[in-house]
Amino acid sequence: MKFEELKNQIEERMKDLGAEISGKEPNVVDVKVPREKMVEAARRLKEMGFDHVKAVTAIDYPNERFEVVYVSSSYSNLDLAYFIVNLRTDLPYDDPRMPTLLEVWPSVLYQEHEEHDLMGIVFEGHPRMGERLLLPETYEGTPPLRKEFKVKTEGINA
Amino acid sequence: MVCALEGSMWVGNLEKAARKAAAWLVNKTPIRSLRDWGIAFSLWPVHFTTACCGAEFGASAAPKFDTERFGFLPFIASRQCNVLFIEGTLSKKMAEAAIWVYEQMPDPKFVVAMGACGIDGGIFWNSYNIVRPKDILPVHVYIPGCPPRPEAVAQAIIMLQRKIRKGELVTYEV
Amino acid sequence: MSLEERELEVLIGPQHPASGHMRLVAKIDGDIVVELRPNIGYVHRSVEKLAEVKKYLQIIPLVERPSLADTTANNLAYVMAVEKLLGIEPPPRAQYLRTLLAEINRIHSHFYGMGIHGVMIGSSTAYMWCFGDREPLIELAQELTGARLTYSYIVPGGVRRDLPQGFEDKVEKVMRYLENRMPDYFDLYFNNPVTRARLEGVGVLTKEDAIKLGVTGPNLRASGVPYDVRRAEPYAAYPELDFDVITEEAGDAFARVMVRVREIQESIKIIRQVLKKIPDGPILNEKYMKMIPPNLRKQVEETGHIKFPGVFANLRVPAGEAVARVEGGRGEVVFHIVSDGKMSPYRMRMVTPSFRNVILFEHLTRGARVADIPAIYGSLDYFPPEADR
Repeated sequence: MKFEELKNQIEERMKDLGAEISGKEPNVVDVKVPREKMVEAARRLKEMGFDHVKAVTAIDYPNERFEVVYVSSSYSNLDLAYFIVNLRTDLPYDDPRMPTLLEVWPSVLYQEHEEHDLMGIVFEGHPRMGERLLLPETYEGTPPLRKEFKVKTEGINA
Repeated sequence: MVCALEGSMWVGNLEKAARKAAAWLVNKTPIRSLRDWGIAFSLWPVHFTTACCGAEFGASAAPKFDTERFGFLPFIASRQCNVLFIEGTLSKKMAEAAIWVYEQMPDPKFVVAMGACGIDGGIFWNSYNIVRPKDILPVHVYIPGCPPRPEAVAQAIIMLQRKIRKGELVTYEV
Repeated sequence: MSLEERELEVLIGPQHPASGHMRLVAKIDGDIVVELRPNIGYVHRSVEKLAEVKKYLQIIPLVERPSLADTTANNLAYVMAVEKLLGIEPPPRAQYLRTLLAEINRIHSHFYGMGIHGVMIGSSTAYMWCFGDREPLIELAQELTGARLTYSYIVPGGVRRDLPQGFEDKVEKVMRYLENRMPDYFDLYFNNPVTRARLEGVGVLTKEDAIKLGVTGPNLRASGVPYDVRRAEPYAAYPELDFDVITEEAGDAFARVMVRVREIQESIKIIRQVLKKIPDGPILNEKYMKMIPPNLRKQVEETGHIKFPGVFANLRVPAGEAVARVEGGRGEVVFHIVSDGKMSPYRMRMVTPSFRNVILFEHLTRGARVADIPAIYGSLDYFPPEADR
């Protein structure tokens, strides 16, 4: 399958979700949808054959927004395995909530839990919200991956 | 029993006296060196891997380096072991477990901190989730390196043995 | 008594004979596991956060630490992501050298996994043999890179060192030794009735579940999914090499071990091809080679040891995003780097194979016997520091 062909296919499927599609040669397609449409967008991607998630990345832009990226690809269709589709959405900074994609992609169970633990994003409907995964159970305070959480540095930057 | 010679070793609480006598005897030269020799060659580290240095610790117990020739045999249960190897970084969650394991071990017991992280945090010195072993445990030997080579582990065992045989670490008190 | 009342909660670890740095919370009913939840995070050292305050070159040793037995995969995946952002390609000889080290590392990572698995199911001989046979490969890697495990060999634009003199002969010697050695493993370990009884039919993962749960590496291929990054998105010198993607159909613990064994044989094949086909030429991208001062460049050409050009100290990476994936010993390593054009990444997401395989603990042990927990645990080749990062 060609890159352009895949991009057009995704564009066609996501048209009514208000998705912004962009691509990076040779194999990365970015799909950006509003957070209410995430579950539906994920379901459509899964129907196309993107059956698992490699990484869930939450990015913090202080006082502006959070961005959550689902890096998905295919195991069952080896033609698609060459391509990576980044399903992304923006969350407002003061209300970082979004519906979990666990029902569509069971592979996000630990990934979403980790982003909740370290970045403080709430995935509504995820069974383990409020529990700690990597941090000690007694940890309280700012989630450590946010930019406002500072670690010591050395050298000129310090 | 009231006795004129009160305060001497021969009266009073018999059990206490016996223990005192035993401690005196064990701390005297021939028996003491025999005791320290015995401890030095039966150092059993507990199977407690705290971080990635465990890969090199595993290699040092394997055929090429074979630390078992120093009487150094990794063992399963903390109650049967006398050496605690802190293999690398100690995270906050793991530090709790390390203290439990240390408290479960019978006396005399020794702690070896392995790797740069075990000394002062190493590459993770500014991480929010680490604990320096020296803050929570009495560390006897440090092994530098990231990760230390298995030869360094062997060197640490020999150093620990020397320290024990000098009588610096083991004392019996009543 | 009702069923709930008979359930017992057992905490396994973090100090346990399997020497894993994790706790397993098992709810058991008699001898049957009702539910098992891995409690991870015992080795969480915040690599992702520290990467945000370190410079691009300083991150190379940092990303190696979490997965000490399989450092090349992390090193390579990270550098590939940075190279995608920088838009540079390493020269062909460097690609082959990267492949060579990756395959040497794959073999000794598989031996590591098999050895630890041996301890868990009570076969100390397997541990001794695997760790013993790992040493010749570590010696090879050490001669090539200068370190036993933490190589930091791959840098943006190339590799740090050229092949040492007479290296090909040594590699050939080790490969021949391994080939002669593998039948012994079958005699003593894999065809041993105890091993077979403990592993066959234990922890079966079906193809559908493997795809659904997004597991990776040998655990995925043992369930019959022929997915290998080396094929799906070829990198380094793999497009030019001839090798097979190993799969097994059974999906049980024994199949997972068998995939590793057969991959070792496949890696031997790849290493031989690499040494036969390796082209002559520079080992660092021309753009960076030019930046090395002339007198040092002469020294680099004579010794084959790269002196870093000054630009590496404060490497600035153009703003953008890159995802790189690499097939390591335990599976697919994914790096997702977001750069804002400064000297440190804005966000670095590192997804290691072990972290993606944690989900299997819950899935595979449901309904298994308590004695099968170590057999399943070991067969996943799970390395806790790698999962916790």
